[in-house]
Amino acid sequence: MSGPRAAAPRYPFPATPDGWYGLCLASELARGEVKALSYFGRELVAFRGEDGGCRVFDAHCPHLGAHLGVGGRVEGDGIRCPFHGWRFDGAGCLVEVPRLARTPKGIRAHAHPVQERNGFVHVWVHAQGAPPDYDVKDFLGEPSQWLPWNANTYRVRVHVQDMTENILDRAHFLHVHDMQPPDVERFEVRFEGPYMVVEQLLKVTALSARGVEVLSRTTNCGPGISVAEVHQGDLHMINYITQTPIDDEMTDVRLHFTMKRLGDDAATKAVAELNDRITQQQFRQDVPIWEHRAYLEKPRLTEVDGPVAQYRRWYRQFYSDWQGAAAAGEGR
Amino acid sequence: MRVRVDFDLCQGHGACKSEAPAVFGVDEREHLVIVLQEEPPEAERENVKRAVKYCPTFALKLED
Repeated sequence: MSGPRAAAPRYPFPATPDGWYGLCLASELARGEVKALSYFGRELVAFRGEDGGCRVFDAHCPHLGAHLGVGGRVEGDGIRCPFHGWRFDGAGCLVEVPRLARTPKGIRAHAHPVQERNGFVHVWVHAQGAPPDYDVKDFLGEPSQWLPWNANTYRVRVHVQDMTENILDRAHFLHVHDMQPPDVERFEVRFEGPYMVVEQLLKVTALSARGVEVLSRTTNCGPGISVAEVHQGDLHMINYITQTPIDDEMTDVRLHFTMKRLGDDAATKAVAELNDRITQQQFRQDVPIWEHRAYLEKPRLTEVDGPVAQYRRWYRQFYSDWQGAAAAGEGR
Repeated sequence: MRVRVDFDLCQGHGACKSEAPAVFGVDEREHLVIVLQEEPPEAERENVKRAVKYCPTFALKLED
Protein backbone atom coordinates (compact mmCIF):
# COMPACT_ATOMS: atom_id res chain seq x y z
CA MET A 1 0.00 0.00 0.00
CA SER A 2 1.33 3.39 -0.88
CA GLY A 3 0.43 6.53 0.96
CA PRO A 4 -0.60 9.76 -0.68
CA ARG A 5 2.14 11.12 -2.88
CA ALA A 6 3.63 14.42 -1.75
CA ALA A 7 2.79 17.14 -4.23
CA ALA A 8 5.76 18.36 -6.26
CA PRO A 9 6.82 21.86 -5.25
CA ARG A 10 5.26 24.49 -7.46
CA TYR A 11 8.54 26.30 -8.13
CA PRO A 12 12.09 24.95 -8.41
CA PHE A 13 13.57 27.98 -6.61
CA PRO A 14 13.33 29.22 -2.98
CA ALA A 15 10.22 31.12 -1.87
CA THR A 16 12.20 34.13 -0.72
CA PRO A 17 14.78 35.54 -3.14
CA ASP A 18 17.54 37.67 -1.57
CA GLY A 19 16.81 41.39 -1.43
CA TRP A 20 14.87 44.31 -0.01
CA TYR A 21 11.18 43.90 0.81
CA GLY A 22 8.53 46.37 1.91
CA LEU A 23 7.10 45.68 5.37
CA CYS A 24 4.77 48.62 5.95
CA LEU A 25 4.37 52.33 5.45
CA ALA A 26 6.75 54.33 7.63
CA SER A 27 3.67 56.11 9.00
CA GLU A 28 2.25 52.78 10.20
CA LEU A 29 5.08 52.48 12.72
CA ALA A 30 5.03 55.41 15.12
CA ARG A 31 7.78 56.13 17.63
CA GLY A 32 7.56 53.52 20.38
CA GLU A 33 5.19 51.30 18.41
CA VAL A 34 5.75 47.52 18.17
CA LYS A 35 4.35 45.21 15.48
CA ALA A 36 4.32 41.42 15.21
CA LEU A 37 4.77 40.33 11.58
CA SER A 38 4.91 37.02 9.68
CA TYR A 39 6.98 37.05 6.49
CA PHE A 40 9.56 34.86 4.73
CA GLY A 41 8.29 31.82 6.64
CA ARG A 42 9.42 33.33 9.92
CA GLU A 43 8.11 35.47 12.76
CA LEU A 44 9.38 39.03 13.01
CA VAL A 45 9.06 41.99 15.32
CA ALA A 46 9.26 45.53 13.92
CA PHE A 47 9.44 48.58 16.16
CA ARG A 48 10.47 52.21 16.11
CA GLY A 49 12.85 53.22 18.86
CA GLU A 50 12.62 56.42 20.86
CA ASP A 51 15.48 57.67 18.65
CA GLY A 52 13.14 57.44 15.62
CA GLY A 53 15.00 54.53 14.01
CA CYS A 54 13.11 51.51 12.80
CA ARG A 55 14.31 47.97 13.63
CA VAL A 56 13.30 44.50 12.53
CA PHE A 57 14.37 41.45 14.59
CA ASP A 58 13.53 37.79 14.49
CA ALA A 59 10.60 37.69 16.85
CA HIS A 60 11.53 35.12 19.45
CA CYS A 61 13.62 36.04 22.45
CA PRO A 62 16.78 33.87 22.56
CA HIS A 63 16.17 33.34 26.28
CA LEU A 64 12.97 31.25 26.39
CA GLY A 65 11.34 32.05 23.08
CA ALA A 66 8.74 34.68 23.93
CA HIS A 67 7.51 36.75 20.98
CA LEU A 68 9.00 40.22 21.35
CA GLY A 69 6.20 41.66 19.21
CA VAL A 70 3.47 40.48 21.57
CA GLY A 71 3.74 42.58 24.68
CA GLY A 72 7.33 43.72 24.12
CA ARG A 73 8.00 47.40 24.93
CA VAL A 74 10.31 49.90 23.28
CA GLU A 75 13.03 51.30 25.50
CA GLY A 76 15.58 53.72 24.11
CA ASP A 77 16.59 52.44 20.67
CA GLY A 78 15.77 48.84 21.66
CA ILE A 79 13.09 46.58 23.06
CA ARG A 80 12.32 44.77 26.32
CA CYS A 81 10.96 41.21 26.23
CA PRO A 82 7.51 40.75 27.83
CA PHE A 83 8.43 37.40 29.45
CA HIS A 84 11.42 38.01 31.78
CA GLY A 85 12.26 41.60 30.96
CA TRP A 86 15.44 40.98 29.01
CA ARG A 87 16.40 44.13 27.20
CA PHE A 88 18.00 44.29 23.74
CA ASP A 89 19.51 47.40 22.16
CA GLY A 90 18.84 48.70 18.64
CA ALA A 91 21.46 46.37 17.15
CA GLY A 92 19.83 43.36 18.85
CA CYS A 93 22.50 42.90 21.57
CA LEU A 94 21.34 41.80 25.00
CA VAL A 95 22.15 44.69 27.35
CA GLU A 96 20.19 43.93 30.52
CA VAL A 97 18.84 40.96 32.43
CA PRO A 98 16.79 42.08 35.46
CA ARG A 99 18.43 41.27 38.81
CA LEU A 100 21.54 39.92 37.09
CA ALA A 101 24.64 41.97 37.90
CA ARG A 102 26.69 40.89 34.91
CA THR A 103 24.88 40.68 31.57
CA PRO A 104 26.08 37.63 29.62
CA LYS A 105 27.99 38.63 26.51
CA GLY A 106 27.27 37.66 22.95
CA ILE A 107 23.55 37.00 23.29
CA ARG A 108 21.51 38.71 20.63
CA ALA A 109 18.23 38.89 18.83
CA HIS A 110 18.86 38.54 15.11
CA ALA A 111 18.53 42.03 13.61
CA HIS A 112 17.76 42.46 9.90
CA PRO A 113 19.03 45.50 7.95
CA VAL A 114 16.34 48.14 7.51
CA GLN A 115 16.10 50.94 4.98
CA GLU A 116 13.40 53.61 5.19
CA ARG A 117 12.85 55.25 1.85
CA ASN A 118 9.98 56.69 -0.17
CA GLY A 119 7.82 56.52 2.95
CA PHE A 120 8.23 52.77 3.44
CA VAL A 121 10.03 50.50 5.85
CA HIS A 122 12.09 48.00 3.84
CA VAL A 123 13.82 44.99 5.32
CA TRP A 124 16.78 43.08 3.84
CA VAL A 125 16.64 39.30 3.68
CA HIS A 126 19.46 37.09 2.44
CA ALA A 127 19.63 33.30 2.55
CA GLN A 128 23.36 33.34 3.39
CA GLY A 129 23.10 36.28 5.78
CA ALA A 130 25.09 38.58 3.45
CA PRO A 131 24.70 42.34 3.99
CA PRO A 132 22.79 44.56 1.51
CA ASP A 133 24.57 45.08 -1.80
CA TYR A 134 22.17 47.55 -3.39
CA ASP A 135 19.74 50.30 -2.38
CA VAL A 136 16.08 50.91 -2.86
CA LYS A 137 16.03 53.93 -5.19
CA ASP A 138 14.57 57.27 -4.17
CA PHE A 139 11.50 57.97 -6.31
CA LEU A 140 9.97 60.99 -4.61
CA GLY A 141 12.67 63.62 -4.16
CA GLU A 142 10.79 66.28 -2.19
CA PRO A 143 8.04 64.31 -0.32
CA SER A 144 5.82 67.33 0.49
CA GLN A 145 4.78 67.71 -3.17
CA TRP A 146 3.08 64.33 -3.18
CA LEU A 147 -0.22 63.06 -1.87
CA PRO A 148 0.03 60.66 1.09
CA TRP A 149 0.28 57.03 -0.04
CA ASN A 150 -3.01 55.29 -0.68
CA ALA A 151 -2.63 51.56 0.00
CA ASN A 152 -4.53 48.43 -1.01
CA THR A 153 -3.43 45.06 0.29
CA TYR A 154 -3.89 41.63 -1.27
CA ARG A 155 -2.78 38.10 -0.43
CA VAL A 156 -2.03 36.09 -3.53
CA ARG A 157 -0.96 32.49 -4.03
CA VAL A 158 2.00 33.22 -6.28
CA HIS A 159 5.77 33.45 -6.17
CA VAL A 160 7.18 36.98 -6.41
CA GLN A 161 9.21 36.01 -9.51
CA ASP A 162 6.06 34.93 -11.35
CA MET A 163 4.26 38.11 -10.37
CA THR A 164 6.80 40.57 -11.70
CA GLU A 165 7.32 38.58 -14.89
CA ASN A 166 4.04 40.21 -15.95
CA ILE A 167 5.75 43.60 -16.23
CA LEU A 168 7.58 42.53 -19.36
CA ASP A 169 4.98 40.05 -20.56
CA ARG A 170 3.73 42.45 -23.17
CA ALA A 171 1.32 40.02 -24.81
CA HIS A 172 -0.80 39.70 -21.66
CA PHE A 173 -1.61 43.42 -21.49
CA LEU A 174 -3.82 43.19 -24.53
CA HIS A 175 -5.47 39.95 -23.56
CA VAL A 176 -5.90 40.05 -19.78
CA HIS A 177 -6.26 43.81 -19.37
CA ASP A 178 -8.10 44.66 -22.62
CA MET A 179 -5.55 47.32 -23.43
CA GLN A 180 -5.16 48.65 -26.95
CA PRO A 181 -1.80 48.43 -28.68
CA PRO A 182 -0.20 51.89 -28.99
CA ASP A 183 0.05 53.46 -32.45
CA VAL A 184 3.82 53.53 -32.18
CA GLU A 185 5.51 50.53 -30.60
CA ARG A 186 7.85 51.33 -27.78
CA PHE A 187 8.94 48.63 -25.41
CA GLU A 188 12.38 48.65 -23.87
CA VAL A 189 13.74 46.43 -21.12
CA ARG A 190 17.04 47.18 -19.43
CA PHE A 191 18.73 44.91 -16.92
CA GLU A 192 21.04 46.98 -14.73
CA GLY A 193 22.58 44.91 -11.93
CA PRO A 194 19.83 44.34 -9.34
CA TYR A 195 17.49 46.75 -11.16
CA MET A 196 15.25 46.07 -14.13
CA VAL A 197 13.73 49.00 -15.98
CA VAL A 198 10.86 48.59 -18.45
CA GLU A 199 9.79 51.58 -20.53
CA GLN A 200 6.74 51.30 -22.68
CA LEU A 201 4.03 53.27 -24.37
CA LEU A 202 0.60 52.29 -23.10
CA LYS A 203 -2.71 53.32 -24.52
CA VAL A 204 -5.14 54.19 -21.75
CA THR A 205 -8.76 54.09 -22.84
CA ALA A 206 -10.34 54.92 -19.47
CA LEU A 207 -10.44 58.66 -20.23
CA SER A 208 -11.62 58.58 -23.82
CA ALA A 209 -12.57 55.87 -26.26
CA ARG A 210 -9.86 57.01 -28.66
CA GLY A 211 -7.31 56.40 -25.97
CA VAL A 212 -4.46 58.44 -24.54
CA GLU A 213 -0.89 57.26 -24.95
CA VAL A 214 1.30 57.51 -21.91
CA LEU A 215 4.90 56.54 -21.37
CA SER A 216 5.26 54.33 -18.34
CA ARG A 217 8.53 53.39 -16.69
CA THR A 218 8.60 50.50 -14.24
CA THR A 219 11.68 50.03 -12.08
CA ASN A 220 12.19 46.83 -10.15
CA CYS A 221 14.54 47.25 -7.20
CA GLY A 222 15.40 43.60 -6.71
CA PRO A 223 12.64 41.04 -6.17
CA GLY A 224 10.47 42.92 -3.66
CA ILE A 225 9.75 46.36 -5.07
CA SER A 226 8.20 47.41 -8.40
CA VAL A 227 7.65 51.07 -9.05
CA ALA A 228 5.62 52.23 -12.04
CA GLU A 229 5.95 55.92 -12.90
CA VAL A 230 3.92 57.93 -15.37
CA HIS A 231 5.25 61.41 -16.03
CA GLN A 232 3.45 63.48 -18.62
CA GLY A 233 3.33 67.26 -18.42
CA ASP A 234 1.98 68.24 -15.00
CA LEU A 235 0.90 64.70 -14.34
CA HIS A 236 3.36 62.70 -12.27
CA MET A 237 1.99 59.49 -10.77
CA ILE A 238 3.61 56.57 -8.99
CA ASN A 239 2.31 53.11 -8.30
CA TYR A 240 4.65 51.60 -5.72
CA ILE A 241 4.10 47.88 -5.39
CA THR A 242 5.66 45.91 -2.58
CA GLN A 243 5.49 42.13 -2.90
CA THR A 244 6.64 40.27 0.17
CA PRO A 245 6.63 36.47 0.55
CA ILE A 246 4.66 35.26 3.55
CA ASP A 247 5.63 31.58 3.27
CA ASP A 248 6.18 28.94 0.58
CA GLU A 249 2.79 29.63 -0.95
CA MET A 250 1.45 33.10 -0.30
CA THR A 251 2.64 36.59 -1.12
CA ASP A 252 1.53 39.81 0.50
CA VAL A 253 1.06 42.38 -2.26
CA ARG A 254 0.47 46.04 -1.53
CA LEU A 255 -0.42 48.53 -4.20
CA HIS A 256 0.41 52.08 -3.18
CA PHE A 257 -0.46 55.14 -5.18
CA THR A 258 0.66 58.72 -5.02
CA MET A 259 0.81 61.68 -7.38
CA LYS A 260 2.15 65.19 -7.32
CA ARG A 261 -0.56 67.62 -6.31
CA LEU A 262 -2.05 69.44 -9.29
CA GLY A 263 -3.02 73.12 -8.97
CA ASP A 264 -6.64 72.09 -8.65
CA ASP A 265 -7.54 69.85 -5.67
CA ALA A 266 -10.69 68.49 -7.31
CA ALA A 267 -8.70 67.44 -10.39
CA THR A 268 -6.05 65.80 -8.19
CA LYS A 269 -8.75 63.82 -6.41
CA ALA A 270 -10.43 62.78 -9.66
CA VAL A 271 -7.16 61.52 -11.19
CA ALA A 272 -6.20 59.68 -7.99
CA GLU A 273 -9.57 57.94 -7.82
CA LEU A 274 -9.47 56.98 -11.47
CA ASN A 275 -6.00 55.53 -11.08
CA ASP A 276 -7.05 53.61 -8.00
CA ARG A 277 -9.97 52.08 -9.88
CA ILE A 278 -7.90 51.11 -12.93
CA THR A 279 -4.96 49.73 -10.95
CA GLN A 280 -7.12 47.56 -8.73
CA GLN A 281 -9.21 46.33 -11.63
CA GLN A 282 -6.07 45.37 -13.56
CA PHE A 283 -4.53 43.71 -10.54
CA ARG A 284 -7.63 41.61 -9.93
CA GLN A 285 -7.57 40.51 -13.55
CA ASP A 286 -4.08 39.08 -13.01
CA VAL A 287 -4.84 37.24 -9.77
CA PRO A 288 -6.64 34.10 -11.08
CA ILE A 289 -3.90 33.60 -13.70
CA TRP A 290 -1.15 33.92 -11.10
CA GLU A 291 -2.82 31.65 -8.60
CA HIS A 292 -3.25 28.77 -11.03
CA ARG A 293 -0.43 28.97 -13.54
CA ALA A 294 2.35 26.41 -13.56
CA TYR A 295 6.00 27.40 -13.69
CA LEU A 296 7.41 26.03 -16.94
CA GLU A 297 11.18 25.71 -17.19
CA LYS A 298 10.97 25.85 -20.95
CA PRO A 299 8.07 28.09 -21.87
CA ARG A 300 7.08 27.97 -25.55
CA LEU A 301 7.73 31.63 -26.27
CA THR A 302 7.22 33.56 -29.48
CA GLU A 303 8.49 36.86 -30.81
CA VAL A 304 5.46 38.82 -29.56
CA ASP A 305 6.30 37.86 -25.98
CA GLY A 306 8.64 39.98 -23.92
CA PRO A 307 12.18 38.87 -23.01
CA VAL A 308 11.03 36.25 -20.51
CA ALA A 309 14.20 34.13 -20.73
CA GLN A 310 16.39 37.20 -20.13
CA TYR A 311 14.21 38.16 -17.17
CA ARG A 312 14.60 34.73 -15.61
CA ARG A 313 18.35 34.87 -16.13
CA TRP A 314 18.46 38.30 -14.46
CA TYR A 315 16.43 36.90 -11.57
CA ARG A 316 18.93 34.12 -10.80
CA GLN A 317 21.20 36.64 -9.03
CA PHE A 318 18.67 36.72 -6.16
CA TYR A 319 18.98 33.00 -5.37
CA SER A 320 22.19 32.54 -3.40
CA ASP A 321 20.55 29.47 -1.86
CA TRP A 322 19.55 27.65 -5.04
CA GLN A 323 21.85 25.12 -6.71
CA GLY A 324 19.74 25.37 -9.84
CA ALA A 325 20.70 29.02 -10.33
CA ALA A 326 24.36 28.09 -10.57
CA ALA A 327 23.70 24.99 -12.68
CA ALA A 328 21.55 26.91 -15.16
CA GLY A 329 24.26 29.48 -15.72
CA GLU A 330 27.28 27.26 -16.23
CA GLY A 331 28.72 25.00 -18.86
CA ARG A 332 26.63 26.27 -21.73
CA MET B 1 28.25 38.59 -41.39
CA ARG B 2 28.69 36.59 -38.21
CA VAL B 3 26.22 34.68 -36.06
CA ARG B 4 26.41 34.89 -32.27
CA VAL B 5 24.55 32.62 -29.87
CA ASP B 6 23.90 33.21 -26.19
CA PHE B 7 23.96 29.58 -25.07
CA ASP B 8 22.82 30.61 -21.63
CA LEU B 9 19.47 31.67 -23.11
CA CYS B 10 19.06 29.05 -25.86
CA GLN B 11 16.51 26.35 -25.05
CA GLY B 12 16.76 24.48 -28.29
CA HIS B 13 13.27 25.27 -29.61
CA GLY B 14 14.70 25.06 -33.13
CA ALA B 15 12.94 28.09 -34.60
CA CYS B 16 16.26 29.17 -36.13
CA LYS B 17 16.67 25.82 -37.86
CA SER B 18 13.27 26.22 -39.48
CA GLU B 19 14.19 29.69 -40.77
CA ALA B 20 17.77 29.03 -41.84
CA PRO B 21 18.43 25.27 -42.05
CA ALA B 22 21.76 25.82 -43.79
CA VAL B 23 23.06 27.85 -40.85
CA PHE B 24 21.47 26.30 -37.76
CA GLY B 25 20.90 22.81 -36.45
CA VAL B 26 19.65 21.53 -33.10
CA ASP B 27 21.37 19.19 -30.69
CA GLU B 28 18.31 17.17 -29.67
CA ARG B 29 19.99 15.61 -26.67
CA GLU B 30 21.35 18.83 -25.17
CA HIS B 31 18.45 21.00 -26.32
CA LEU B 32 20.84 23.53 -27.77
CA VAL B 33 21.39 25.15 -31.13
CA ILE B 34 24.29 24.01 -33.30
CA VAL B 35 25.75 26.70 -35.51
CA LEU B 36 26.62 25.05 -38.81
CA GLN B 37 28.09 28.19 -40.35
CA GLU B 38 29.40 30.88 -38.04
CA GLU B 39 30.05 33.17 -40.97
CA PRO B 40 27.27 32.37 -43.40
CA PRO B 41 27.35 33.65 -46.96
CA GLU B 42 25.51 36.84 -47.93
CA ALA B 43 22.76 34.79 -49.59
CA GLU B 44 21.68 33.57 -46.15
CA ARG B 45 21.25 37.08 -44.71
CA GLU B 46 17.46 37.23 -44.92
CA ASN B 47 17.06 33.74 -43.48
CA VAL B 48 19.40 34.52 -40.60
CA LYS B 49 17.61 37.82 -39.92
CA ARG B 50 14.34 35.90 -39.61
CA ALA B 51 15.99 33.33 -37.35
CA VAL B 52 17.16 36.15 -35.06
CA LYS B 53 13.71 37.72 -35.07
CA TYR B 54 11.79 34.55 -34.35
CA CYS B 55 14.08 33.04 -31.74
CA PRO B 56 11.68 32.67 -28.78
CA THR B 57 14.38 33.36 -26.20
CA PHE B 58 16.17 36.13 -28.14
CA ALA B 59 19.39 34.11 -27.98
CA LEU B 60 20.70 34.98 -31.46
CA LYS B 61 22.54 37.99 -32.81
CA LEU B 62 23.70 38.93 -36.26
CA GLU B 63 26.90 40.93 -36.45
CA ASP B 64 28.38 42.50 -39.55
